[in-house]
Amino acid sequence: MLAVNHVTKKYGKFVALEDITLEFTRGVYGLLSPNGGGKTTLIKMLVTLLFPTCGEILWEGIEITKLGEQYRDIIGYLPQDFGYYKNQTPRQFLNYLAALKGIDRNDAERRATEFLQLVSLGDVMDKKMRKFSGGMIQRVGIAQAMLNDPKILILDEPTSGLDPKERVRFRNLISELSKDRIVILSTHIVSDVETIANRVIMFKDHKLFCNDSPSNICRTLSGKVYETWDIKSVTQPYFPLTQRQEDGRTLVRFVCETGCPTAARQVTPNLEDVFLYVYRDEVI
Amino acid sequence: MNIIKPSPEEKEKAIEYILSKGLSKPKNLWDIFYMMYRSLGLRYLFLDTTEPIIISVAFMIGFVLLCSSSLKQYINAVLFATAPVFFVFAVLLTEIAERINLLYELKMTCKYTILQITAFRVVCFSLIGTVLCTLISLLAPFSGDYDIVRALSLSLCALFLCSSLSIFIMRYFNWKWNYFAPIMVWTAICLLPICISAKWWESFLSRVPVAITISVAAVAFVLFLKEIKKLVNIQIREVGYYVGS
Repeated sequence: MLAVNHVTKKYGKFVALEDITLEFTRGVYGLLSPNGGGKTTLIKMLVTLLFPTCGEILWEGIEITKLGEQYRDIIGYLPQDFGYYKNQTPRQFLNYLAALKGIDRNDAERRATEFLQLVSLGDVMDKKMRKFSGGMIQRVGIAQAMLNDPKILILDEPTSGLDPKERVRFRNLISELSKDRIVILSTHIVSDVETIANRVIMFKDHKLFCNDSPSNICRTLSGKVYETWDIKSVTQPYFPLTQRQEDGRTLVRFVCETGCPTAARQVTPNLEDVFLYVYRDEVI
Repeated sequence: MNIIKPSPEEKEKAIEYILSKGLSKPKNLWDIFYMMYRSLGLRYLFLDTTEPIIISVAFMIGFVLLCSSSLKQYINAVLFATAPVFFVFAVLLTEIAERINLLYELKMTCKYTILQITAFRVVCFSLIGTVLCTLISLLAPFSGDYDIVRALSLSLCALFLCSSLSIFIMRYFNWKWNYFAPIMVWTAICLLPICISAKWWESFLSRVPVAITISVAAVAFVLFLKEIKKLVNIQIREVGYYVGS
């Protein structure tokens, strides 16, 4: 089990995260917050790139900084800005990272091939990465994170740059991988988290806002989300969420805490509604 | 009460198991380097370092040529200043190359981190530096009072003083620009005395007993190895300053 105990992270006087307590067991955990909300800071602390100002992060009861190499052996990490050598092929690149991860050469060769095929890059594994699309590079990144068969897989914005088809494939892959490990992912794309995460962790004002299943989080807005064609009626005190075009008309989705207009239809809230409503005061 | 007690064999097995899990011999510096060499090979250990090494050798040759006019007059001061040039620039340029690379973060989360690879490279650079120092000492123009033992010991003294102090600063302080430490140390130890009073510095270096220069070089070498060992074993080093911050 990975435990984050009362962790605070400060950069000088700026508090990036305050008194965060979390526990991670097997499954997919989605980190959700607007930009600058503290997701990447938490992820960097989990992969030992940053260290808590207060509090501790424990793996099986031992502080991760004390475990050092032992801990780095069990994590797989895909950073937000994933660099690569353009002149290398995915196979060469994965072999290089496998060597850095201390994986035996023969084993590395086998795993590199296996994971590149798993992320559907089997046909291009010997082609230089210079001409790869953003989505293909991202898939190389996911393959490298899996190389050491990590117990903890940490992915920072893994779906950025993926097209809808690749995103669906990625979701399926993560669901498959999460059966016997902890998967922690941060993303801006709420639908990704909603589909694959067992638990969603939201930060607000640099503190832990909620840590619950997507359905329970959606339930917090149950009976309060409506849709109407009458866009003009959605004024204060109602909070507009999204608009979409249907048959040349605009359908507005909004939150109504009190009495609602008669023309509006009550709908089932989704995670995006909660996200937009919770962070309504922040620039998203 | 009927309590099932373990047999002596079971007890022995359990003790052996506990001992095998609990007492692991700490790896020494050479074990770590050997394992890194076995796992990574020279190709991966020196990936992306060809240009920095070529540039550093060019800097060293350039520095010697620049000082060639004052070589006869200030031979000891020039040798003292030249000795660490390769090391200083090789460390600086390879560190810059690593830190501007977007893979830096990812590499810091692997079993062998960039800090450990840097330590390996630093040892190699100091070895190359030692060879270059020896060559320069041998090739330096002989004059009546030229002493090759003094020249070599002064060169090694400068090299290991610069390298041990640089690694200490890079290891101890987590500054954003701490990879400039080698060049700062080199300027302070080797160039500043020449700028203040070249005559006095040359006279001091030519008169200091060879036994002292050899002793200082030996002490600096021991300190260098200790610093390398500490650098390899660093666990707590934030990297947020460099990439993605």
